[in-house]
Amino acid sequence: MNGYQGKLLIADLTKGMLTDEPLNEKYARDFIGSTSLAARYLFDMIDEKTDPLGPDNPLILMPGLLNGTSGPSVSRWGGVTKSPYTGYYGDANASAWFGAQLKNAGYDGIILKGKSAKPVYLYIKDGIAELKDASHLWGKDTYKTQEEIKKEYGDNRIQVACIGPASENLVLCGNIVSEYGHCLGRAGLGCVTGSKKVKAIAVRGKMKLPMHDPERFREATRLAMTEVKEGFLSMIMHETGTAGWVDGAISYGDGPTKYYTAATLPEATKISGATQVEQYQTDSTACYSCPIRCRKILQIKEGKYLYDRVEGPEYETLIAWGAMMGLDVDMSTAVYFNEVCNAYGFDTISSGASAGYAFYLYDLGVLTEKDTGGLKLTWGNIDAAIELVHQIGKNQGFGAILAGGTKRMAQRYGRPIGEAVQTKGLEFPMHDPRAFHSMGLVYATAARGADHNKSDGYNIDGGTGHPDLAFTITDRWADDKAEMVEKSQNWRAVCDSIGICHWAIIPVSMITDMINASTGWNMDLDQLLKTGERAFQLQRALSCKLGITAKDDVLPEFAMRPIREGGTEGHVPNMEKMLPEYYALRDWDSLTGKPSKKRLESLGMPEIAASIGAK
Amino acid sequence: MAKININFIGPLKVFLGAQTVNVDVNNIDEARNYVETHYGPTYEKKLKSMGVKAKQSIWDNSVFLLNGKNIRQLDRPVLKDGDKLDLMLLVAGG
Repeated sequence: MNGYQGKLLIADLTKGMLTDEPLNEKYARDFIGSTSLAARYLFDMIDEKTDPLGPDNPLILMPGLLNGTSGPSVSRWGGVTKSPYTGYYGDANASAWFGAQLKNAGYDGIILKGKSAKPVYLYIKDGIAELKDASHLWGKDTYKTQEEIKKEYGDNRIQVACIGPASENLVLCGNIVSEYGHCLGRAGLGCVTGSKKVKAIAVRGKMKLPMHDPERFREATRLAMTEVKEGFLSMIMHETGTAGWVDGAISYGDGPTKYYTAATLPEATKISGATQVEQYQTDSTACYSCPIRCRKILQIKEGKYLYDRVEGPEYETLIAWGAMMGLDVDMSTAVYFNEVCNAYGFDTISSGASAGYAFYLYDLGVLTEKDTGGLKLTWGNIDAAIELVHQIGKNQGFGAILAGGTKRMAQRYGRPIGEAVQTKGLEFPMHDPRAFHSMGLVYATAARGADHNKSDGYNIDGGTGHPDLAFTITDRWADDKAEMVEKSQNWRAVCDSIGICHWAIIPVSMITDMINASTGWNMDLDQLLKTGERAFQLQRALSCKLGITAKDDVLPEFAMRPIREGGTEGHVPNMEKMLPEYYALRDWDSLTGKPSKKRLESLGMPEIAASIGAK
Repeated sequence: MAKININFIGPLKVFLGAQTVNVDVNNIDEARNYVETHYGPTYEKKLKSMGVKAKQSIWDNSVFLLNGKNIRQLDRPVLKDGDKLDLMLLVAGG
């Protein structure tokens, strides 16, 4: 099977058995790879009754189609499971090097099933997999775990995806960390890993990938590589990374501040990508096969926490563990937050938002020091925020309540559910829909809950959408976003399936060339977008299978309150207009939220339509 | 003639080596001309050194805020003394 290694690794952790299973060729053709393909497998394996932390809930990790090849910026891989954080469909994507090594190690994916009685880790090299004892690793943070496994084999090129103490302690937003701080960050995939007593998955390999037309593939990747190297967006991302948006977020009001009640904190400029370049950056580094090199290496010589060589935090973490709580942090503290969250291994977005909600409730007087274990959660109290990071990581004290997220917090403290800024149980990322109305639609409709990776509406409204997709760009506060969001969601599903980074703008003809030369298929843009739609609708159908209906596609009232000051200028998205338009485009039922039978069948998924009772 | 401040935000600040410039202009087109004439060569040189081959305009690749309010490429606001025009590149963070 060209373009694939042709097999999956099935790890039955209850029995301690590892078996190879041929890759389902139809699934691969229909869904390509990563979270899209993994979701197709997951659909058949879970239902409403599946306990997310029970042995019947699988965790499926898959590389993107082009991971491990010479294509440019083809590093993204993903995982899916039934989320213990939300109780619904959960997925997450990451970059770095794990996906490429997994594919080169001979597998198109790993399905973890059952539960081990004792801590184990999985070691895969060149098509051979072993389950190893991980007692000596249990309790160690994600950095030490990666180092120790590499040391055990004397091979620094082994890639390790692991959990930290947070997921061992079943912190619901626990994540999976690879390449030091590159995470399958959201929806609690790490917590599921911890429940199975799997500490890590280590991969290494040099196995040849069967190619339909190697010569054509080489030429296609050469051209695409040049395109990325010379790309304008590439160079902006190289210069300031995702943190470069901090200054833009301040201007646009895009960075939630004081739990969605204030204009974006202007002091955040001191930790922006531009400031990092000017004052702290000593080097940059890259994910697999990526010429952009947007990852910044910093040296922190001043402040409470000193680092000689440390990777800079990304935009999301800088705001979530900063402005969200009104924290005026310096670079030293911003790096510390990032490092500690990554070492424990939990989602910085959800945890930061939950901590922000706690600060808000404290400010209201709903929470007192009696509730917080003595912590004074006054806006801007950095020491209190640092204490919360440790409590969340250990699943202890007041932090254990925050670890469950804003929805559970609102329920616990008898607050209106609309105060919890989440959809389907997952907190909003750090792009405020009041700054870019398209993001309201994106958060309302993404399968896993609020998810900025399922559409880059904020980028497209800013003018950086893929030029070949001919997006209609309107004002960031316009409410005619349904068509753009639908198309961009489909395109993002394609990029995730292939494993191409969102920052690499490659002409579609070159992308199809790489896919076709690799697999022998005959894809064009229309077919790619249809494949993207198939993946998006499948994930939606799975959400519906797990209990999601149209009433879950709403934005919380709290994030719909206008803020007159700052960059949002009092605007709020008109969801009453946008959502029905979007539903019509997707052909979703206005009550059940299910995709129509006709639409699912037109995408080649009659069995999915039958399974969810689509009409 | 209005005396306005033009602020280069985020990556633009890094690319141009300047944060704020005070200029006297009659209208937004003159502001554009000022930016392209005075900073265009620096911008082009910087992008070329990074490998970008196609010529890029600062103005065409920017989004704008006038006194913190959103304005678009085609808008023609009347400028007055003390106005603050923020220029940012068209890119957002992940």
